[in-house]
Amino acid sequence: MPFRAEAVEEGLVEVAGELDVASAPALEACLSLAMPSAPGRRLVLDVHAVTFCDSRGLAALIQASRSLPPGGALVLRGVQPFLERLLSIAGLDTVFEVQLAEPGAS
Amino acid sequence: MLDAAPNRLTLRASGNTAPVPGSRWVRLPASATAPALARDAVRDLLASIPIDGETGELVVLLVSEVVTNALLHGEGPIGMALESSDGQLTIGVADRCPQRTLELRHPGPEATSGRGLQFLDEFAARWWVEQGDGAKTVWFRVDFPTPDP
Repeated sequence: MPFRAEAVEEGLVEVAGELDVASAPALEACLSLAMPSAPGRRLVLDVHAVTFCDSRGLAALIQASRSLPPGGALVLRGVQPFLERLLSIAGLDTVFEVQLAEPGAS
Repeated sequence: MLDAAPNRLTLRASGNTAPVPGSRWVRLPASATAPALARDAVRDLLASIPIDGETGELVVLLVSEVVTNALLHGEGPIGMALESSDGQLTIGVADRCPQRTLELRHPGPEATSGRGLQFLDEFAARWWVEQGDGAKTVWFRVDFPTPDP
């Protein structure tokens, strides 16, 4: 599946496809574009259509969470089971706010 | 010939003088597309063996990590050997940078590098590195339960 990332508006990015060394720079650019500026604002990533992620993809998410304004949070919306397992393995399930995908939704 | 040495390494590591049944050799470009091509090749192999979905996902993840490592820290081109036998997958990724050794770190949850090797160390049954003939090959083995006949 081809990778696609879109900064929909401030605080919202939609991502689809495989997150790796090839696609991470595009994701990072989108995350920067959509990065909220006001304290306490959240950055939501809709990841329901993400089909693969490796450590390079995780690094892009960590980098974004570090760039958040004070009191901000990185929210992963529509997390599929494979990504939930990966986040748990990496110890990141408590670093990001994880919202699971509805069962059967892809 | 750039691709000769990794092939010899593959054959020597498997202890055979000819490719064994169930083994494949994939040549990958030294470009950012290499991990995706490697994952596709591994998914093809996984579809032909009785491996459960979650273990298969881990194998695809480890392949992506090791090929990315070869891409970022080695010199291209990259070769990948895939060998499957009953309940066991052995995968080797060769690059042309024998000098560079791998450094296993234990990154914290918020580290942005070093995680790939950590995954390899945690989830491969075994992993090891072969150096020589102008190449470095990172091998790893994943065991998976086979269904009862």
